[in-house]
Amino acid sequence: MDRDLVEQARHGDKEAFGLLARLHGDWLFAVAHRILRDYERAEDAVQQALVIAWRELPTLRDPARFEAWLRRVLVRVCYEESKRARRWNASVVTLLPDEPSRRDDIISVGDRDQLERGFRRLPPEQRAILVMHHYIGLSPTDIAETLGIPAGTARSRLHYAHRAMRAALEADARGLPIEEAEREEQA
Amino acid sequence: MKNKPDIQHVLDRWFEEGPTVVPDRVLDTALEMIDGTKQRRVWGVSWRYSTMSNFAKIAAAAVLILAVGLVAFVVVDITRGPPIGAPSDSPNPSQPGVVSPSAQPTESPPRAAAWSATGSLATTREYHTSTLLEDGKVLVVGGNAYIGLLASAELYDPLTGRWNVTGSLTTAREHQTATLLADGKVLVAGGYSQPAALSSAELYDPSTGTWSVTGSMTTARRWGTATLLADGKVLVAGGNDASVSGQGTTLASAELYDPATGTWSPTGSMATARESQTATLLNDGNVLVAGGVRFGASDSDIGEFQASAELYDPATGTWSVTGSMTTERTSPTATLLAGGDVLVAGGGARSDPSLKSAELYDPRSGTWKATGSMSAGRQAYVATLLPDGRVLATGGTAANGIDGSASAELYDPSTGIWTATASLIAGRQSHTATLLADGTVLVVGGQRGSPNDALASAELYDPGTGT
Repeated sequence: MDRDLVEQARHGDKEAFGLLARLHGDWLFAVAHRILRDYERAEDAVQQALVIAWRELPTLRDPARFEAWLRRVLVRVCYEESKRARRWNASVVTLLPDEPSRRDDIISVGDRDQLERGFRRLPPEQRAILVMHHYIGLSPTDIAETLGIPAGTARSRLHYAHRAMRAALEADARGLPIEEAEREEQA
Repeated sequence: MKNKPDIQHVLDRWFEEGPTVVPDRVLDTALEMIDGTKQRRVWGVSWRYSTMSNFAKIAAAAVLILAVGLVAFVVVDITRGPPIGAPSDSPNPSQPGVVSPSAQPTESPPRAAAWSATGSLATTREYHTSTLLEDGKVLVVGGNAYIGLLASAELYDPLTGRWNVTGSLTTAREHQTATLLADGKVLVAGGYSQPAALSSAELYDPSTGTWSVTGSMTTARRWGTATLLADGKVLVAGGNDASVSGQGTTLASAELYDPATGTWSPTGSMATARESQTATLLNDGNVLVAGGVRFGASDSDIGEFQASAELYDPATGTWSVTGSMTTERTSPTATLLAGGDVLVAGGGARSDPSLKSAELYDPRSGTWKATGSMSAGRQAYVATLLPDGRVLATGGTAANGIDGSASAELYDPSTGIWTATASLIAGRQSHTATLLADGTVLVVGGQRGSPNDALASAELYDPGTGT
């Protein structure tokens, strides 16, 4: 169905694009929120991504690749959003209480704090790679396709991101500042 | 969690937390926004042209030719200026390097190195190729326009400083190789086009401005290297087969393209599979391949970065291991210096994704030695040999790991030292740089580092004089 809708939208059918937006809106928002860690900015990112997607859709050669293409658009928008200083700091943003979440006891409150802090310290490219790998389930090669980067670069960034996040948890476990744990992890 | 946690498992669970449903108002607002947004127009002449009658086609073609000719005449007349330092028909004393006929022949004052903007591409491009043609023009091919692979190609005319669209590839691709053949044609091979690496190859004929499909490689590959050999054949080595499923396999294989037959044939394989390596034709006709990275089939494999190097002997079609670099490097640059040594600089290693260090390969001894380091770590950058023997390093990924760098520096083989030179106008990475016939360097496209980040802009580096 996507393919037909994409074809119609490519030729200027706004109704078809509206259906595509509804079909893909949830994952766009979920991914944007996980990269940006902020509701309002994730909403902005989704809107920007959809506007860019609409504008650029005629340049998409293969309608079957729409989802991967849209993912790339979203991630690029998230890069830009993450550069904006608005409300961006290292403090932990608490999930809204009415938001359904699948928390479990595997991750303690303290670990969540450290994960949040460690994640926010990462450059947006590494944050996006962690989300694509752990949330969407993409392989490094698929991530490379999404971002248009060499697979080696994707794997390298994933490696460094894992190292940084591991350091964040180590810091929690040992009561160290994150910076110190990162230095030890790198040593 | 007080036991050492499995970070992969923890992250899997952590990312499950959080919102999964977008508020309706977000989508409603987005759809209102597109009401006022026009879609990008895609060039649609072909289908319209095909629906015309023969008479209409001839008339349209005649009108088009007249219009283009008129515009070209006006544009060339207005904008044509001499290459830097060349005499001019209409002297302008204020223009650097232009000498007025009425002026007495005096020694020109030293001119500092500088960058200047030149015409922009019609399309933003990253991961494209640039090739200097025999007529002095530069052919830019394929790549990615930020969110779409490109089949289009453009020609830069150094005399006018302008770009013209030329024939398009039959297959859009990025990360391909492009090689100027002895007959003046350009061979574009491999690369990537969704959803997999390509084995196909195409030839560009500058005399017609058109592409034709030529023989396909035996193996689909991207991030490999292509080197024109002394006998006119092209050696393609390594790369990644980027298969549809899985992460692809790093390749050890190599193959030769014979322009006389338009066919590929396998040749000896490298001792080490590698992708994102360098390949340099040495003065003795052998090819030096150095560095790169080798990935196994597993997605969890983070790769073996390579310090090793190998030599290809075209006479025997075989590879032999030569001395290893002092540092493992993936995606460094390699430049054959005037003395026959090879300068390899920058790239990424496991310990440092953006290396400053550089080293020299001596083909006589088959050994490497460290030379001066760059002032900044560089990956995804370009190194260009200048006519005076120095090497110009431009751009690359900035220290923050995201943005394109605007910095540039020069390596002087006589001292082994890098010195800063004028900075690019725009920070860029994954761009191309081409030495033009007049000694200037054309830098094209690349990536700025943020959304809409593929660049259409181009700029010229004038090495200056007496500096």
